[in-house]
Amino acid sequence: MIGKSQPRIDGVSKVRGTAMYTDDIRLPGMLVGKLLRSPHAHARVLHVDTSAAEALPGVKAVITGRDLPIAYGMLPVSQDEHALAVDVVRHVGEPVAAVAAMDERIASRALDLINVDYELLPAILDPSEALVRNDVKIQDRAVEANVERRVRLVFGDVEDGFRRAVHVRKDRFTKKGAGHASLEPHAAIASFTQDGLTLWTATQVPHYVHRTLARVLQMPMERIRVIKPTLGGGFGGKGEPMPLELVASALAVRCGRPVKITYDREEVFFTNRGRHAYTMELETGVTAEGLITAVRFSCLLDGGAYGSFGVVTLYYSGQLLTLPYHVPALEFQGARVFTNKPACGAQRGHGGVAPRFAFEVQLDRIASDLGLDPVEIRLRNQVRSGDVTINELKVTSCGFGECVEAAAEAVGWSRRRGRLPRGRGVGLAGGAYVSGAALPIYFNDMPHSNVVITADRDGGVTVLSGAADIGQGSDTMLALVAAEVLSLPMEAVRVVAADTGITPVDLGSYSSRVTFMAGNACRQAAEELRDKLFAGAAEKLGLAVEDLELRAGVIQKISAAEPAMSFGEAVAAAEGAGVPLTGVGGYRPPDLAGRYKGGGVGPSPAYSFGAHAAEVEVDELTGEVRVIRLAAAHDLGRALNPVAAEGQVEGAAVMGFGETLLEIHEVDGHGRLKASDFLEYKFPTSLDAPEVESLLVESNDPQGPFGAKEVGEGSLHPAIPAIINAVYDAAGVWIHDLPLQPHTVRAAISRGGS
Amino acid sequence: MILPKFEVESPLSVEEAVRLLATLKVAMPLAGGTGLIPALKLGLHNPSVLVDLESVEGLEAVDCTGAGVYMGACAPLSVVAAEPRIWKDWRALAEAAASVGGPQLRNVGTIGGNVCLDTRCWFYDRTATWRQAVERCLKRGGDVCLAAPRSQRCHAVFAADTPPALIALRGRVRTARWSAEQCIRRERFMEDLYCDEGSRGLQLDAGEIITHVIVPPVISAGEYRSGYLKYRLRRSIDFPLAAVAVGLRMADGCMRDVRVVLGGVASAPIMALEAMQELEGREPNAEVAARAAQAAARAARPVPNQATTPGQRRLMVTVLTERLLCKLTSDQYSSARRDQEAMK
Repeated sequence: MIGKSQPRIDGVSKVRGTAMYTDDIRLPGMLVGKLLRSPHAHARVLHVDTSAAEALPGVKAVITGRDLPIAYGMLPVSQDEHALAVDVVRHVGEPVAAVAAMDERIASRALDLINVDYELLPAILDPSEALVRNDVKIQDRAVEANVERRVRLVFGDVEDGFRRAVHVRKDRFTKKGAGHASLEPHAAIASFTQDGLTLWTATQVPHYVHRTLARVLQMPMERIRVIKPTLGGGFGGKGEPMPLELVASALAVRCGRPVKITYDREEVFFTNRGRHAYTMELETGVTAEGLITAVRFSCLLDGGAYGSFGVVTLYYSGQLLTLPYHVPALEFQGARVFTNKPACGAQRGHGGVAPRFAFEVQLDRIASDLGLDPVEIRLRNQVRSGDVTINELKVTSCGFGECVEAAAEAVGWSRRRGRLPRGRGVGLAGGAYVSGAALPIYFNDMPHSNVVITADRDGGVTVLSGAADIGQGSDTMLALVAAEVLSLPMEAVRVVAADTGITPVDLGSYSSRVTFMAGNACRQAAEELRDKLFAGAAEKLGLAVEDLELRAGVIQKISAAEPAMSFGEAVAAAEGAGVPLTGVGGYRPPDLAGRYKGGGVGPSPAYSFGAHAAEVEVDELTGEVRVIRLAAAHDLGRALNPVAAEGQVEGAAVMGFGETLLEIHEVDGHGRLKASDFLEYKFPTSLDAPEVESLLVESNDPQGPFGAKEVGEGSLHPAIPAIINAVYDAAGVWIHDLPLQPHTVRAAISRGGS
Repeated sequence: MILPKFEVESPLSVEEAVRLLATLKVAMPLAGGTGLIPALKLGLHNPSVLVDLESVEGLEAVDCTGAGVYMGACAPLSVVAAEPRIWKDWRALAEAAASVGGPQLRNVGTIGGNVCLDTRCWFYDRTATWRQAVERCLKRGGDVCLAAPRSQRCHAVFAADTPPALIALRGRVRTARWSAEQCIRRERFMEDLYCDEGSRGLQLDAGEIITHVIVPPVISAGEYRSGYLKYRLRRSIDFPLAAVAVGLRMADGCMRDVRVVLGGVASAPIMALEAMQELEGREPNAEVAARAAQAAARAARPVPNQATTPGQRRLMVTVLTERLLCKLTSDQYSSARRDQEAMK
């Protein structure tokens, strides 16, 4: 069953519109909650007068920051957020107060009646200003100006590396911020009864929401249940606890009635947590043969007003530079600063995207300087299975070379690169990404993923897992793994997932960890259940366990023509032991952390690799760039479900395409969002997206479930530089600033090349 | 964002519609609503009544059986864009209608609604929360244009696709209004409907609605040529950042009755007179087209209130004008030269 395309188990309900998303849920007596947001980029909140709002008929509760005074945050080192602003607002759109009312219209009117006295403070919007301004502190915990964190990591002998180099390039690159643009906005509905608090929420991380609710609401965890309904896209934007989850819960407790909050599109943009804007300087030395001798990289990340995942983003920015090429010496310096903007966080391809763009474009420039073929320089420097990088990343399996060759072949590289008519070009770039982080976000010894499988006498099994299907298809993956091990049809496997009241803990859907970790846990659980099943059946049949095999839902003597008993009969036989038949599995990564400060970010039990080749058309008169196609080769270890894997590769490639040519999340000179709806935030529709050809490369990872590694994020990285490198082939200009915009392309062309 | 509360009236005749608009307080006409409903959600208007013209008998028809095109104001854009005779004789209109929004928007949006589309601006088409953070702009009754603060007027941009094409084709509108207890009808030239002041709106009387959009018969079939080209970042859905419509007649190898009309680069569709003078009576060739395109760009007045840059939008006027002229007349380039050679 593994390796054959399977329709997703929730596909039909989604297509028919019967799948229940969070906003589809309606509970008896439900109230509507709404948040009042700051119109100022930076201000002290002197006084919030809620009396007029409270007096409005139909309003059931009004709360402010004082009602939820406990700070929280995704990372233990950045507990700097409040559900509603306490004393200070730090960006336009930050929530200040909230109401629960009988309907949305009353709630909206109530917001208009809340009177907030602000004392305006100077706002910092430019990250380079944030680096030096000591007179304005956006966060008190910033010691130096508004720097959240500075990082310096040095591996190997960098000076010696540059001395050995016969060619050194130093280039500057920038990338603007981008947003996730999930079609489903954030939504949460809270219900508080004598049984405790139940929160249905559109989240990638039910476990962290669970922990944060307990902390902020001061409620024991066992009194809280978090359920993730069907979810319409996350991409990192739902990867951490959000104000609406805390506010809906607090309002439900206050009112004793269910409260639902659904963000509108602008509120999603205010919430952000998207890609950081980057300014980067990259210096690389190579030998005459193009072998990398040393890399020096520095970057400044515009973090926005809060920590979010930012420290991890910062570390990833340097740590992932040692893949997929052999880098013998690396010096990385980075800083993340606070500015008065919506906070940036994790977005698909987290941390690696902007640096990978810089690295791959510079590598092409180096190849061009040396007269080497871009494919050749990549193959010469490639890492291989068994390598350990200079920053201690252990490569268990690697199909990078094969990816490069497959992508190049798909666009006819050797015949066409440098030989197409002016205005047309092909380009290629590589990338690599983690299959989950080896270390959890908060320190603990427990497994990162847990699965319980129970067997039913009717012949089916139920998989219980905390993993959050955010549209990537993890529920289908779990069903497939269980079905494979237990030799059952997909229909015989039920998946119950992402409900903290029922399912065992899974850390959630981020850093591309679910197939690898929950998949391994599921496989282990299924194998345990199978062993118990065999033991029961063997006893009943009077045969040895070794003589039995499981095939297509029946147990039989190995190579016997007749089935001995059905799966259901075997379950009943096994239950003769006197307890229900279950299997449990847990996945905890091996100890992979680097032995240095910061060595916890980057290590993964396995790395995916990829290479994309792009073909573009550049209109030199208008500066318009059309991407004709992307050949996206991705080493995912093993394709458990090829059609699902191709979907992930295509989705990531198209998202990279959008960030290359269109998407900009930024504010104007007053801190107001420039684009806050889908008309002005230009992300590609299906009609704008290029043709993407997914080329799945299978390197069979020894640790992955059936050999599988990540496939959800890694394919974003190479898409961007592949397009930029193709633009060079087409028009002879190197683009160092993303997104590439028609006027910047024209400017580059009129500058004549560099 | 939620819709404010309003009543919906569904009149069955034009007379009833204009009477309702004249007598009900704060009433607005509705013809599709793909522009109006989002604006209501943003709280930009607060009508107590919407008078839905789609219930009026006969306003959805597109008739091009006689001379010219006769379109009810509520004819869906998708119907206009699917009419083979319009593609054949009034191609600019077909191309413009086919380029509005995406398929769903063209199914719901109407020709009359598109003609009446409000001007758009980064600083105006915003939620209440966002607008709270800025001072009132001219279009909201304030006294500054946030897109061009040194200017004295509103620069909200005219972003409808079909009007430049309709003006290039010498289109007219029929209107109706209620006055002295009766329905007054009149006919106006499309080009007189607009004013290059973003906050002014259509040059119609209070309560006056467009009932029909008319395109006159082509002056000389076969020799009449027209087209519409549009620049936007996403070819799938966006409003124009720059657009050009051209209509002209080929007679004895020369361009006659030329019209060049720009969209998306000012607060109204702009007749590019200088460009038209460059072309009128001339034999088409690449050089003439390039000169006219330069002249057209001089008529554009983009300000930074839409995606990309004003410079890019102005450039695209040049490029699109030149490309459109080439598309419409390049078959004549060689023949003109051939004729010249023959005369020698």
